[in-house]
Amino acid sequence: MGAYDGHIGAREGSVLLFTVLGSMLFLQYPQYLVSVGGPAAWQAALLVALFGLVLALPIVALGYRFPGRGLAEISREVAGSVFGPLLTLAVSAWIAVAALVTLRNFTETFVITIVPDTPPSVLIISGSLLSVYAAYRGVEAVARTALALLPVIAAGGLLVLIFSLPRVDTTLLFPIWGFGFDRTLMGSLYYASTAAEVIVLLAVGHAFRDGRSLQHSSLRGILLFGLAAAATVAVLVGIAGAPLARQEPFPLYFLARLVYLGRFLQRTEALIVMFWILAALIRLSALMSATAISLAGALRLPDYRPLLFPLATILSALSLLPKDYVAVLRLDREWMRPLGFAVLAVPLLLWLLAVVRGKAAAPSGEAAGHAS
Amino acid sequence: MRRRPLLGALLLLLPLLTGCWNKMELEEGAYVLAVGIDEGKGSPYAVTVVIAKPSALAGEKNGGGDEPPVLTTTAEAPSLASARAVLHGYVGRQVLFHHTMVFFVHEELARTKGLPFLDELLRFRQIRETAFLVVTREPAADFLRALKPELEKDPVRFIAQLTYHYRTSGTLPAASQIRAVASLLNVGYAQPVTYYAALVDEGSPAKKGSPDPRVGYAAGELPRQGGIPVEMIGAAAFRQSRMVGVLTAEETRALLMLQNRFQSAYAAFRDPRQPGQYVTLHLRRGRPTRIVLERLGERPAIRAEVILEAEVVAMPSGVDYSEPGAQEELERAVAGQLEETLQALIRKTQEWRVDVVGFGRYAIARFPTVQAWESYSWPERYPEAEVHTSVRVSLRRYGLTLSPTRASEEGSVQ
Repeated sequence: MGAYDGHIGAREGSVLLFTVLGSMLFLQYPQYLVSVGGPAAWQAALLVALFGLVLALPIVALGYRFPGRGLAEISREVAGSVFGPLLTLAVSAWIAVAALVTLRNFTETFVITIVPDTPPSVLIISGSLLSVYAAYRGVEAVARTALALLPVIAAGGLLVLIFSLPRVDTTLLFPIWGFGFDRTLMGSLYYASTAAEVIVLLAVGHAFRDGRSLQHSSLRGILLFGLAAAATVAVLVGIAGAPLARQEPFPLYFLARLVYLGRFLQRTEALIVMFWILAALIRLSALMSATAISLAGALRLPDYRPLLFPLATILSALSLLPKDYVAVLRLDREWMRPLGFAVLAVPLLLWLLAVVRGKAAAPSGEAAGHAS
Repeated sequence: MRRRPLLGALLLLLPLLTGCWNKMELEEGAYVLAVGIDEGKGSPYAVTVVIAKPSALAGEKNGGGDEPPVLTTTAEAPSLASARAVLHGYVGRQVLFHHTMVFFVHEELARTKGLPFLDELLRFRQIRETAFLVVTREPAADFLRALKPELEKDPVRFIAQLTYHYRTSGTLPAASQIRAVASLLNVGYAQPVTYYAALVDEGSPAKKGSPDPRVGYAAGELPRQGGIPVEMIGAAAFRQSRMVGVLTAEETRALLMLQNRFQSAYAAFRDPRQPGQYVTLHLRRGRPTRIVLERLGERPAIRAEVILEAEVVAMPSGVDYSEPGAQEELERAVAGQLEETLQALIRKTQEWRVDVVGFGRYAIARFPTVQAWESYSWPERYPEAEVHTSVRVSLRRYGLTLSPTRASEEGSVQ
């Protein structure tokens, strides 16, 4: 299957997942955490990551049981040729909507913050075409690009946080338990599906040589994301205070605008926007690849690439449907996140079926060795 | 060969990425350096803008000559952004707020209506949250028209340089940025203060302040002659978003000491052995101010300890305070006078029911949850709080001479 050539190592995989999840930190994700935890938003970030790790375990287990296989192949083998593709289609539909929301979300963010006069359609078309190109080059190319760009994207985020530290007022992080640990716990549980994009790794599972690579990619990616989210919201709340931070949909942009080291360093938002674009494109490319690969697998198509352009066209058109920015936020918070649990339930279901039916990939070579 | 069409397609896409829709040449913009906000007559606000004239600001060598460096004009509108529409009726260039560094607000507006425009300052993307907020005793439009510094061409740079004096004189609050004010308006443990400025009419018998810390100076009260007719010293205190009072320069310094943000200042104190004479010291923060919340409950109790170091700069009375016993006497006297100011500040803020020091910071950590903290209602407890202050001053140095100079001895009354 020439279309699926190329492999992702544990490092590339974890960086890919970290970028896919971490790009949300440029958007409204920190706002969710602050609304859940208030001054204790950093605790919510860690709890969400912890729940995310637990929810990702079935994916890890499937990776060990079916090394080198993607979601479409696993579901067909475990759930049969009718129910299996249906499950894959459901997952790919969710990933497609995640791509759609990402596309519109980043577009709206760019329009609101930096290019107010640019028509959204121009940004949507540009983003879609670039992500189609990246997805066309394959998942390996997307993952390697994520790895190559990680220092730039991470440095961009980290520098903003470091330069913001002098403005941090630690009192704003009190009361220490925010709205109460029980409320933080329950709220974090609601947003635990923020890590649902980990399903992308299972969708492109064929790119991982063994279960161990998939395990490291999933767990490390979520863990890194949790730490980055905790640091971001701690600095955000420490500067803006929970009431203002809760209203701040572009937290890193907000922080970057505040960086002011005399006349020497200011207006760093111009820099952060560049990292924003890179992170957004990697997220979009990964989601687009995962959607097309799952779709092709469910429909038993030999290659996913012919699907990319039509898929991008449909998603671009649909992304213009939400009437405004608030509608996009609602779509993400009230539909995408709850449905993320359903998506994460698919690997769990598949794993249970595989255990009950005693299904596993035929042991062969290195992959079987790791899986045992 | 197969790559050529793809490459061609990508090249065709490049024009889409240039952001041409937002393109604007530098000379097409009218960059607003400062904004004044007063209550309007026909509209909610009278917005005064100070627009930079880059060629005039650049100086004579670059062709500026005697041309005024800024254009100051006022437009009535319901908001800053909508004031642009009015301004665009007679300002040819596009009015932009990206470089606005200071927002001046008329005291009357700040007292009666608060800061209702703050929402726009936080929401409008052209405005930066790092800009300063200054309350002016007179209408902001009048203040901005009188703002013609003599040592600087750029009036906003002049204001920015005044703000640095909080580090060397301690007579201005440490922070008066939009972001700092907005974040404090939303938390219950402290209330914001901003810079306070006033116009001076040397001809009128205005109320004058006093070097005595018990009276102090506020903007518009400085005992001086000459210079430009604007002053920025002291602070405006807010309860929620409404201004409730003015802190003098001395009280502002005391505020900085309690907030642990005082750095250094030259200050004169009544000579303990020679009434009517003053000892001038260079004060520095010795150790971080210690604030202990001793008790919560109905009437919270707070203990604040300020520790300073000092160097004698002027001792005209001729008394030799370098003698061991005398040195302690001077230290105690200076500490006592500073304590009077601290207590005056606390009394004033308790009367105004505003915790501008931020004692609430030490209370909030005692509460496990936001709900418990909010139900305690610190802003209502603060006016009843017992605040005990103590000041410790250690005289470390006596300047370039140790004993009194001959001129001092001659001038002294032994």
